[in-house]
Amino acid sequence: MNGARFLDPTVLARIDNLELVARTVVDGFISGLHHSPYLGLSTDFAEHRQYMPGDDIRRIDWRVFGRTDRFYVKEFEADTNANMLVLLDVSRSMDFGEPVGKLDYGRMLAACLLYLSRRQRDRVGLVTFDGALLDYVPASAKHLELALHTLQGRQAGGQGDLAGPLRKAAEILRRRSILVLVSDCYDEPDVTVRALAALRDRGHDVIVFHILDSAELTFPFEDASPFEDLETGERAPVVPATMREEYRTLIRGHCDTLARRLGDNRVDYYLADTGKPLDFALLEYLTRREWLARVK
Amino acid sequence: MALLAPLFLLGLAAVAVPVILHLSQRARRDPVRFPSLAFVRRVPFKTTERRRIRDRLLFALRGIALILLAIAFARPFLERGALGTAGVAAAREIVILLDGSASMGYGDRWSRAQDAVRNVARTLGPEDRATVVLFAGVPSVLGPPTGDPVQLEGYLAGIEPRGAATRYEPALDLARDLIEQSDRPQRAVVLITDFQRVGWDGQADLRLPAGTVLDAIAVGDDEVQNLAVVGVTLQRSPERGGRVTIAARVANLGGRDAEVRVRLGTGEQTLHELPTRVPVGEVALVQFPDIALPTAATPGWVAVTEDALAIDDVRRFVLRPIPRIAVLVVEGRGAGEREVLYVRRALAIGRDPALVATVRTTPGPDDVREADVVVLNDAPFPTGETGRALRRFLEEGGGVLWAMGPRARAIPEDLRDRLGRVGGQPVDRLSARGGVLGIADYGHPIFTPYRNMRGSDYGAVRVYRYWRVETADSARILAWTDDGAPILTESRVGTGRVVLWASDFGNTWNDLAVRAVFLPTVHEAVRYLSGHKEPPASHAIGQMLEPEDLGVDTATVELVLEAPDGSRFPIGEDRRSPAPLSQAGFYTLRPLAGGIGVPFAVNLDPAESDLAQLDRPAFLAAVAGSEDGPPVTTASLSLSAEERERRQRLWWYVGLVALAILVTESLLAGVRPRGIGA
Repeated sequence: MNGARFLDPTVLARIDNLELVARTVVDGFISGLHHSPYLGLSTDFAEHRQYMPGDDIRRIDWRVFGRTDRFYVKEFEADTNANMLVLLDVSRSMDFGEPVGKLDYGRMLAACLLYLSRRQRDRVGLVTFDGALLDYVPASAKHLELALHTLQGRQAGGQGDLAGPLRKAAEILRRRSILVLVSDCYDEPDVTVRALAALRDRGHDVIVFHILDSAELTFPFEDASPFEDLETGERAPVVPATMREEYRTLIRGHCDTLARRLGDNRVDYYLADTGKPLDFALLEYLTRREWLARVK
Repeated sequence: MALLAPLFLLGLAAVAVPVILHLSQRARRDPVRFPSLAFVRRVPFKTTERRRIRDRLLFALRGIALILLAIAFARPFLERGALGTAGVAAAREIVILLDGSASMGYGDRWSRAQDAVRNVARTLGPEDRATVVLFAGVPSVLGPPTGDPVQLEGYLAGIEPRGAATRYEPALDLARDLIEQSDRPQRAVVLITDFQRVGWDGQADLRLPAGTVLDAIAVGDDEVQNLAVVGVTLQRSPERGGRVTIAARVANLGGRDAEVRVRLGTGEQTLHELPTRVPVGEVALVQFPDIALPTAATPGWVAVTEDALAIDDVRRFVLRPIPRIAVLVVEGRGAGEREVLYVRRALAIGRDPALVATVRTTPGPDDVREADVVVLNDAPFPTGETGRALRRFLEEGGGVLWAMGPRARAIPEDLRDRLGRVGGQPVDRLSARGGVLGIADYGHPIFTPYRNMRGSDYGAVRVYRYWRVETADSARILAWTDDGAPILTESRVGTGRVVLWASDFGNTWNDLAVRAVFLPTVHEAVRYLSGHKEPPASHAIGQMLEPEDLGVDTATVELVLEAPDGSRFPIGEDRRSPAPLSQAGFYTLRPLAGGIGVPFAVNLDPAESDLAQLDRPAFLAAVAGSEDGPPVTTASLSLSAEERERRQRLWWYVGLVALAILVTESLLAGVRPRGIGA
C-alpha cells in the first residue's frame, strides 16, 4: 500500500483515533524522507566551544582537555527538550469544508505535529480557543496523550477572535516555546500580526498554519443564494457568478498580506488547503524546526 | 399591424426573467453556510438585495423597455399604412393594372409582377374590393371585382404575357372609369409594369381621378440584353421559275455587341444559317441566298438564338407565288404601231404581280370574262355582245382603264350618268405649246409611288389635245389640266371602276407616255383596277384581321380562323367582323365548310422589342396630375412584407422609445438610493 495515501486528509478523516492518525501520518511521512529524521538528537555533534562558567560540566569533552589542557564543551544540533505548543482555533468558522472540514484538518495537523514533536523529544502542549481560551494543556513530555484526547473531544466553539486568546496565551506561556498557530485567520491582518508579534516578542518561535478550505479560496458556488456567516449568523443574498473574481482577489490579497506582514515579524506562515495532503504541512514544520535547532 | 419576425416576440419572456429570479430567490430558504462574509461584503454588492423589486416604477420602465425591444426586433409594419390613418377602417376600391405585354415575358418579370399582385391581395381588408385588369394593347378585366385574396390570386392562373405591344392609355382610361364608378371612399390604382417606353408617347392624357392613390410597381430591369428580328423583306422575281430573296433585319436592343447566327427556314426545315455581328443599338441586315418560290403559300421564318425575350427572336412570314393579273388590251382599229407601243411595253414588264396582257382589236366576250382588267387603248367602248360582257364585267367589280384617244369619240349613252359626257371636238392646246397636268388627288392608289413626292414628273407632262369631259356627279376627278378641265377621272359602274384618261397613251396628244411617271402610273392603275391586294408579309399581335387584306371574299364564303394554338372561331356573325390576332405564329383563314385556307403570319410588334424604359417621373407626374380636388398621391400598396417593413421602419421608432425609456430608467435609478446592504 502506498504510504502517501495515509497522508490524504480524506482518508485520515475516517480514522477516529487521533493518535493513530498522527502515528500513521508521521511514521509514513518520516519513512519517506531520505535523511535522518532525528534532527537535534544529542548524537548529532555540531562543534566545540570553550567552557564558560555555568555550563554543565557533563558536557566537557575530556579527550580534548587531555590533548589541549583546556576545557571545551560539545555543541549538538538541537536541544532535545524544547517546548512545542499547538494553538488551535476552534471557532465556528473552522466548522466548514467538504469532505474534510477545516477543524478536522486542523485537529489532524495538530495531532501530527504533536506526535512528531514528541518523537523529537520535545515537550508538547495544546491550546484551543475561539473568542476565548478554551483548553490549555501545558507543555510536557507526558502530555501527548492528554493533548490528543483534548483535541479529540473539542468541537467547534463560538465566534472567533485571535487577539484575546493569544494575549491570554502569552501571559501563561512563560517559557520560550515553539508555538504553532492553526487557524483560518479571518481577523484583520493587523490584529493577527499584532497578536502574534506579541508572542514573538516574548521569545517564542511562531509558525502559522493558515487553514482554508478550497471553497474559501475559489468560491465555486453557482446559484444565487443567501449566505450565512457561520460565526455571526448574519445572512446576505449573494450572486456568486457576479462576484467570484473579486472575492478571489480579496482572499488572495488577504493571504498575501498575512504572509508578508508575518514574515516581516519573523513569523513563519504556511497556507494549508484542506484538500492537500498533510505532509506539506509537516515538511514545513520540520524545516522550520531544523532551522530553529541550527541557530540555537 | 403585422410582424416580419414574430418569433422575436418570444423575447417578451425576458420580461418575466427578473420576476422569476426574484421569486425564485425568495423561494430559496436554505442558506449557504460560509465561514465568514467579511470578504463577500467587501465585494461591490451584486446580490439579490439589489434585485428586489424595490422600485415598482423602475421595474415597470424596464419591463416596458424589454417589451418594446422585443417588438422592435419582431420588425412590425402596418399592412395598410399607404392609405393613411383613415384607411384603417375605410373600404377601398383597388384597380390593379397588370402589364401583359410581350416585354413582360423578359426574364422573371412576369413572376415578379404576379408576386406584386399577390402582395396587393394580401393587403385586402374585408371591405375592400379589387379588380385585376390585364393590359397590353386592349385592356381586359380578368374577373369581377372581389375582396377575396384567394379569388384574386386565382385570376392569375393560366395568364401569361400576351405578346401585344404596351399601351398605357387604354388601361388607365379603363382604370379611370372603374374608379369613377366606384362608391368606395378610398380608391387606388396599382400599376404593375416594366415601364416600357413604347407604351407612352408623352402626349396622351393619363390623369387619374382626384384623390386616387397610385402605386406604381416597376418590374423592369436596369440592364437588358435583347436581340430581335424586327423585319423581313421578300423580294420576288419571276426568273428561273420564280425566286425570292429574303433579307432580315436583326436589332441589338441590349447593352453589348452581339455575335449571332441568323437562320432562315420554312416549316421545320432550316434552309440557310448566316453569322452576323450586331453592334449595340444598331440593326444588321442579313440577306440570304435566294430560294425557289413555292407554288402555294408556304410558312417561313427567320430566327436568331433564343434570349431572355424569346417571342421576338423569330419572325414569321408566308411565301406566296407571284400573283398574275390578266390584262385585256383593246386597241383602236387603225391605230399605228407607235401609238400602241407604249402600253404594250408597259404591260409587258410587270414582274410582281406579273401582268399577262392579251391584245385585241375586236375582243370577244370570253376575252372580257378571262380578264382581270380591261385597258381600252384609244379604242371606243365595245358594242354588241362584247360591250354587254364588259358592262357585266364592270357591274361585278371589274376595272377598266380607258385612254380616250382620237379613236374613242364618245362614251356610251347608258354609261354617261356615271362616266360623264364627252362632246364636240377635242381641246387643242398645240398652239399654246400644250397644257400642264395637275394632280388633284395624290391620295389615290394610282399615285401611290408619288404620294410623298410633290412636284413629281406629272408637272412636266405636256398635254396638247384632250377631250373635254363633263364629269358625272359621282365621278372622282384625279387630275386636271391647267385650264381647269378634268383629264383623269374615276367612276363607279356597279361594283366596278372605270378610270378615264381623256387623252391618249400614244405620245400623240400628250407626252405622258415618254415621261418617267408613265410606267408606274399604268402599273398602279392596272393593279388598282384589278382589285389585286398583296397580303401583308405578316400581321402584328394585337391587330384586327381584315379578311379582305388577304384577298379573301367574305361576302360569299363563311370563314373560320384557326389560331396557332389550334383554336378556331368564325369571323363574326355577319362574316365581316374583324378578328383579333393575339398569338404569335401562323394563322389560317379557312372556309367554314372546309377547303384550302389562306395562311398568314402574326408577329410581335417590333416596337415591343425595345425594352428601354420611359421617363418614370414624367410618366407618374402625367398620371398623378389631377385637375382638381385632392391630388393623386403615389404610395406603396403592394410592397412585399419585407419592403413594407423596410420602408416604414417602425422598429426604429419603437427601439428609440425603448432607448428613451432605458435612459429615463437609468436617470431615475441614479437619483434613488441604492439597495446595497453592504
